[in-house]
Amino acid sequence: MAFLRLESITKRFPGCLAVDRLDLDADEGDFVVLLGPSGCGKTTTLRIIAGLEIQTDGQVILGGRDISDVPPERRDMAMVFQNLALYPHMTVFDNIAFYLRNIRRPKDEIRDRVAKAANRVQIGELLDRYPDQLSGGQRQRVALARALVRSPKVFLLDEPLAALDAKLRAGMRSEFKLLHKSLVEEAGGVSGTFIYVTHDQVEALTLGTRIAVMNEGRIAQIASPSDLYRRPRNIFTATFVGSPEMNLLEGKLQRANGDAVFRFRNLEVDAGAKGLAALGRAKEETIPAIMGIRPESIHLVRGETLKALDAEIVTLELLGQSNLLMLKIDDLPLTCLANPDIALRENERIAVRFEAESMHFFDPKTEESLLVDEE
Amino acid sequence: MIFNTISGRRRAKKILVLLVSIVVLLYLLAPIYWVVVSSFQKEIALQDRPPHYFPSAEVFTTNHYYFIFTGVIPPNSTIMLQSMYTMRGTLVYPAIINSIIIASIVTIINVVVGFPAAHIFARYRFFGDRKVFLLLLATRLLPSISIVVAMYILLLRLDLLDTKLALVGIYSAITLPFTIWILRAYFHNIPVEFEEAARLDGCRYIRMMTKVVVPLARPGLIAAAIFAFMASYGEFVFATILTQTIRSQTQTAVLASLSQGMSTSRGMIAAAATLSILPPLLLAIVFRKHILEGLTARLGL
Repeated sequence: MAFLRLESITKRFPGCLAVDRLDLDADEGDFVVLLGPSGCGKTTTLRIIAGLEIQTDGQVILGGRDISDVPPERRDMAMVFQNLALYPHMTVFDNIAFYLRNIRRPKDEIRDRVAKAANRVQIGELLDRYPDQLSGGQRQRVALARALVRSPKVFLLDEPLAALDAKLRAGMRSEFKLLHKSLVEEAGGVSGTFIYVTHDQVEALTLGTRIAVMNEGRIAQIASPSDLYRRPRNIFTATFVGSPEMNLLEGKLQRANGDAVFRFRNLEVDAGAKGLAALGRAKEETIPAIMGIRPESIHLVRGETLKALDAEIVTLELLGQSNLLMLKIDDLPLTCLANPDIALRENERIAVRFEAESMHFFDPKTEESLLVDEE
Repeated sequence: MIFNTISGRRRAKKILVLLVSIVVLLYLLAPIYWVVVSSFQKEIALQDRPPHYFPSAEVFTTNHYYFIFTGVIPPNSTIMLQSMYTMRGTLVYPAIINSIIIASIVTIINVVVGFPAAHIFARYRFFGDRKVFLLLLATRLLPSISIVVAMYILLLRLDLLDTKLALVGIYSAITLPFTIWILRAYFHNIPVEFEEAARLDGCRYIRMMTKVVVPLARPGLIAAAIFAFMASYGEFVFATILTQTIRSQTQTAVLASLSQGMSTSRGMIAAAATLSILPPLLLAIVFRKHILEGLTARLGL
């Protein structure tokens, strides 16, 4: 059984269903990211784990014990709040030491543990300061140290980087990753579980060992970062993860001489092995489908090629490492990431090819992937 | 011209603001100045026309204070003045002490009861919470004079007339709704995450309140406590009707009774008024930083 388990958690607020029969498992050493748009119930889920919110239905199980009725102060979980919530009337030392004092640890032990936690996040020299004398990044570290000093069973992090500016955020992100790695290594894999809430997919993809994409109170998909990107199980995950967004084309998937083709409008592209897999055991020769293709899987083709599609460049944005193209194929808008070395102009007509191995196929009715039983 | 430049206009604006503040200040402080100045003037000088706006050394005296504290008519006073000193003047000092005792106890009750009550109204939802709160505020709408007779009869039956306890009870009932109201508003400005963080840091309710909530709300708490003290210290209607002797009479009741005689020394009344101003003035000076902070909440976020 998993270390931390949510069983069929439901949270109903007056006039709104925030979390809807949610199940989640997390093992020790796991870094689980709850990713989703605002209002999807991810923060509520986190608060239910912490005990700050009481679920309407379902159980929170920690280490095999149902802790649904245990108040937050006895759950042994540390939380980093979105606004950090550093106690403004206490020094950095007192902020970090607060928990240890509350459980009446001896003075020497408190001093040692606070120093260790502070050094770990490089704020050893700031212990005498007050929170309002610190920079945004330093406060972030204090909040982290406050959680680290406890060695809790579960670390809960609620958009901890949201308050920082873009540059600091990237730096802190890598530090979080290193921190988690070193904690797990030191503990031999039995360190606390991290539950991290964010709406930023870059944070999710870089930090998480497992990512739970949430939508309208439910988990749309839970998977490793690479699986989430390469094998989205539904249209929500496919479009929410990845930037720029995946292109979606509505059409028909068809068998043709032992091969698969995808037809949309009056055009036709090779659907390759993915197309065959999506057709799967379907008896029909033709099924309606939505094809998804990421911008980086659309390639520009120079010269006349048989299977290329004719496209027009509507706008062109220079992103540095690539060019973002807004294309039009027969009035259908598409985005495409192109090699910046290719000289292009707006309104130019070009030929493009879809990479068949990178296609995704979804059922237009259920919006679920047709590739689930691919393996 | 100076008004033609931006900095000139800005300076003109500053001067205007300063002038207006001076006028307002004069308007507010003039009566107090007059009382203080009168308390140090010879009785005979108080009847001069025009009055001594800025008294000279010739009319200066401390006789009025001397009488209030000793009850001894100053030997150097005229016959006329001797008849004007009423022995009630000697009650001023014990009455001020009564007022301080009563107001202090009321303040403590406001802190001990009002603080947690306000916290609960601000943080928790329970059945009828809004109605209870509105009802609490509504009690403030009743003018004292409309319930004082009922209160008199009630205290008569309870045998509590002319006791400090009665005033403490009534003043607590009067001040608590206001205290709860402003502290509740203050709590709304304190992010609830501090309390949630305290919970996760292993605090139960009492420890969370003492270690986190009280320090965070301290400016508001001090401001509310001072308001409660001032309101009790200066209350007049109940004090004058429900007390009879110096056992329970407050400074407002005694002060009012001084001016009842036709020919009471006006200098002595002024001295009594000056003395009664001192305790709240000292309080305001000592806590002026907190009163300001309480009105403009600053949190280290």
